[in-house]
Amino acid sequence: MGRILGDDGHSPFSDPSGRLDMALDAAGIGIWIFDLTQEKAHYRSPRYDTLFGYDEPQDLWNREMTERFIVPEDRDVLQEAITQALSSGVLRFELRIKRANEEIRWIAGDGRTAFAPDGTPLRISVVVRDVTAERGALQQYVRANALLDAIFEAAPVGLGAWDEQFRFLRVNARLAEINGLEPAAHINKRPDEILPDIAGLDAVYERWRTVLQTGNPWLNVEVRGATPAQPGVVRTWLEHFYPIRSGADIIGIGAVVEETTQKRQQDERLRLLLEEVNHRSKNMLAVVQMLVQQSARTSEERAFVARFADRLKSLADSQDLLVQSKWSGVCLHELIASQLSHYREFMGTRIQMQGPRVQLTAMAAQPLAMAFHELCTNSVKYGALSCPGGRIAIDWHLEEDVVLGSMLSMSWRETGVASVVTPEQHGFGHRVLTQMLQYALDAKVELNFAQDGIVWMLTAPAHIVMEPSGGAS
Amino acid sequence: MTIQANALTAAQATNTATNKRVLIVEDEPLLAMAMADQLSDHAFEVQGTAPTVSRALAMIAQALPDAAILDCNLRGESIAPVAELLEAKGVPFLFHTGYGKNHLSPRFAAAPCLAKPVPGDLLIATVCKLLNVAPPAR
Repeated sequence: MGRILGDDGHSPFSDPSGRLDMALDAAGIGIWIFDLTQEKAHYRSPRYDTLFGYDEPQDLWNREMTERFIVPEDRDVLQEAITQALSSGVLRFELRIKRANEEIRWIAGDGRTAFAPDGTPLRISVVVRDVTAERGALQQYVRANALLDAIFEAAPVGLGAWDEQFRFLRVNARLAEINGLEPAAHINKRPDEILPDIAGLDAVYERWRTVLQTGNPWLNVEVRGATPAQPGVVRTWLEHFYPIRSGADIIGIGAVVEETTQKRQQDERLRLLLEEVNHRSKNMLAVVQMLVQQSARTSEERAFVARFADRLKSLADSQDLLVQSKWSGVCLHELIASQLSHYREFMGTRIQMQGPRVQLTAMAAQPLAMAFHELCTNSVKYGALSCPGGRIAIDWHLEEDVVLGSMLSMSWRETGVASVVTPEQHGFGHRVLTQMLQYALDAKVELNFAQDGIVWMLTAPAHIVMEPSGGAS
Repeated sequence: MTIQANALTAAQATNTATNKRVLIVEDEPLLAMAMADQLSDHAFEVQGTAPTVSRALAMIAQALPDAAILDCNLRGESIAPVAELLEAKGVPFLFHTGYGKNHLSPRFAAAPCLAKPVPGDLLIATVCKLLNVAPPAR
């Protein structure tokens, strides 16, 4: 130890205890002092040689030897650094070497030039470190960052980030375009400072505070307003806000912003169109009713028209419920109540309804409405609503069938009817209550004329008659 | 038309409606029922009424009808697979639709297309034409 290498046989340092070597070794740095007057290494610390892949310090070392280790592409780097150092006095380089064992390493050097009083450069002293690990980490970091930047900038949706004071940290090109401002114009500004025409920002900030506090994202938020991109034009966006974390801390809020203005306009057009179609179909039903009424001459025909008009009204009522729900299903409770609306005063007394909340499919609503209309008409003429003591119990429930799966089962049970007449001939009402429902709903239907009133029972597959959500609207 | 002429027509027509089986594919139950009644009233045999494509295909697989009445849109499903199968089997059919004819694939341009609601006996007349039979007396 303590072997200080100098080609001229004496060392510029006195290090008899070897402490300098130890320190240099521990720090992983090599020292090289190059004598410009003799074109050879004046001094090398032992670590210098190991940097180049030797286990043992080499006896001979000169500038050519160093250059031999440098990969060809980086040889100019050292040459330029030295040229620079001869004038400025400061040497700095980073280059790749190929070690004796063929391994490529990154070496960084920092040095100073010593000059004679007349300005002639005498020596260059260089501290050399192996920086391969740092270079690798840096390169990975740069590459990862570049990838993230590319993803962020090229995203076809708006992306933004805010700090805890809701000041913009960053926006991507798409969000800048949506806002109609340069990306730089956002930085360190709150949305209300640069986008005064966005509606309800106070409420947004309120929710952002919750996001920061709880760490829970706030998704599917519709934001409305105008931005400098199209001043005065109200647009809509679908936005998702999420916490940005750094370790355990939440340091800001991120957002994904998608323009929905066009989609909203299309939805609106569709809604208007649907309203128009409904309006026209109701008009059409009214015209049909008028035509039939005007065509009736005899009293027999007028009685027919009255029955017909009732059925038409029932059809129109069920249509109304469907339109109100935007064809997404009708509550069974409401459907029955609407068909029995003339007998509202008996609800809860002579007419009892019981069953869970069921959302009927649009497909099931019309046939069932017609069925309840026929049951009600029959009841008024011949059944429970034709005599003072008559009562009607309407019940429904869900049950499991081993083969058919979940089934909706419902019944209309009349009691207290003095004289039940079993009709000799089945009319249209009977067909509606049996055949039509079987056909329309794959239902099993039973219609019995019991001693004190009729009993109608229907069982239909839930997947046909009920909305997938099943219950509550 | 004299009684004799009428008898002659029936004799000349090698086919009569009496033994012709018609399949009705229609998802609106009241329309299916009404058409079935109408066909029965005119001495056709109604093979069945199918509210869905799968039911219609199953019925055709069981027995080929002599003719079919097809609604174009069955609970949101296109009638095309049924029409294709019937065409392949050489069974004549007509379309009965709330949409216009241009809603149909040009492939089936040869099939008659009746717009809902169909007036009076036009349905029966068209079915008779499909089957090349004389309209039977009621």
